[in-house]
Amino acid sequence: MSSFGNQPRATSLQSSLPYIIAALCLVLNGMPLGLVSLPQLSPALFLVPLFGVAMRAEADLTPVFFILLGLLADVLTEAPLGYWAFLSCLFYILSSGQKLVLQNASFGSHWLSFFIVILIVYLAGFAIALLRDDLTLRFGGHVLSALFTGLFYPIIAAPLYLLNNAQAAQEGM
Amino acid sequence: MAKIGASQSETRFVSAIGIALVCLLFAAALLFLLPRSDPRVAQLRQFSYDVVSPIIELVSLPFQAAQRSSQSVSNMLDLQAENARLSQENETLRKQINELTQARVLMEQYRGLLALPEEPVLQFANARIVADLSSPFARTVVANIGRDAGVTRGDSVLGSNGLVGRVISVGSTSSRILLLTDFNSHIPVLALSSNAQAILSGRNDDRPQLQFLSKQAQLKDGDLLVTSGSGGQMPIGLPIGTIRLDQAGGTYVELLDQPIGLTYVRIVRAETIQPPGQAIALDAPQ
Repeated sequence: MSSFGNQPRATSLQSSLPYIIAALCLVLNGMPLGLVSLPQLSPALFLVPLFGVAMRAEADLTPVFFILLGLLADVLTEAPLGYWAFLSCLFYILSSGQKLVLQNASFGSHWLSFFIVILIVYLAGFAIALLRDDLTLRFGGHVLSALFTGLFYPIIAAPLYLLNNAQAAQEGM
Repeated sequence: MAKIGASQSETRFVSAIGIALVCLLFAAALLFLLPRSDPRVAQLRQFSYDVVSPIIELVSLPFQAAQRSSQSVSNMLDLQAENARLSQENETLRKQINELTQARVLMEQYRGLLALPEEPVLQFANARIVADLSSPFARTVVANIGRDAGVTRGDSVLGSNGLVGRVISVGSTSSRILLLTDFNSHIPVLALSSNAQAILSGRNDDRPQLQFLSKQAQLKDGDLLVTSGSGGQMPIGLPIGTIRLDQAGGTYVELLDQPIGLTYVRIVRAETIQPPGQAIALDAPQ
C-alpha cells in the first residue's frame, strides 16, 4: 500500500529532478570561486540535464519550462534578454529530434549526440551575436565553451540516465 | 489499441514542437526587439539578484571555508618570506607617511592661500562580493549591500589597492558592480606625473585601454593613473593602475586590483554635486 502511495511522488520528483539540477547549475554559475579566471567561457551546464528531458518529453508544455529556464539564464548571466531563451528552445527542438535515433542507444551515443546538438546551439548563438551590435563574442572561446559543456555531460547526465534506466526496468517488470 | 497510443504520442510530439516553435519566435522577438539598455530589464536583473544572492552566499559558505583553510596553510608555509616582505613594505610605508605629512601641510597652506573649496569627505561602506557574473557578455559582480546600506547608482568601488568599478544598479540588499574591464565601462582618468587626461575604457579582457589621450601627452612607464573626477561622477584621485609601455611603444594599463577573485570591496559614497542651474537660481536676486 505504502509503495503505491509513494509511487506518484517518486515519479514527480524524478521528472522534476532535471529541472532542479538545471536551476542549481544556473545559480551556482555565479558563485565567486576565484579559482579560475576564464570569463571568456560561458558553459551552458544547465542544458546538460535537459537533454534527457527533451528526448523523453511527453508533456506539451515542456518547451515552456525550457524557455523559462532560458530566461532565468539570461537574467543571471547578463546575456541580452532572449538569448539563452532562444537557444534553449532551439536545443529542445534539436534534442527532441534525437528521440527516435537514440531510443535504445548506449550512453556513449547519447553523449556524442549531445556534443553535436550543443555545438549547433553554440554556433547559432555566435550567429545571433554577429547580428547584434552590442554583443562581441570570440569564436574560439565560444566553441571552447561548447566543448566544455560537452565534457561535463557524463558528470551531470550519467546519474539521471541510470535513474531513468532503473525506472524503465522497474516498469518492465 | 497500440496504434491509437502511437498516434496520440505522435500528435503530442508534434504539438510540443509547435509550442517550441512559438516559444522560439517569442524569444527571438525579445532578443531583437527589446533593447539591452531597457530599464525594465535592469530592474528585473536587480530583483533576481536580490533573490538569488542570499542563496549563492549560503551555497558558497563551504567553498569559502575550504579556500580560507587552504589559504591559511599556504600562509603558514610562506611565513618567513611573508615576514621579510612585510618588514620591507613597512619601511617603505613609513617613508611615504613622512612624505605625505609634509605634502599635506604644504597642501593645506596652498589651499588657504588660494581659498580653494574643500573636497567632499568620502564615506565608505564595506561589502562582500557574493556573485561573479563575468562572462563573454559582461564583466559584473554582485555585492551583498544595497539601498538599505545607503549605496546609490554611480558609487565608485575600490578593491584592496585601487578602483575596480562602479555601481550600476541597486536593489534593497544587493548591488551590481560594472568592472573596469567591461566593454561598457568608461572612466575619466589622469596620469599623475604627466598630468595627461584620458578615458579608461574596458575591452572585455584583463587590460583596459586609454582613449581620447592627447597626442602631446608623454606617458612614462610606471606612471600612476588616478580618477580625474571629470564629470563629477567619481571623486578625484582614486588610484586605478599603472601605465606600462610595451615593446612596440604602445601603452597599456596594469590595474592595481585585478577584478577576478575579488572577495571584499569598499563602496565609496561620494557627495552629489548640485547642478549649476540650481546654484544660479539660489544666488539670483529675489
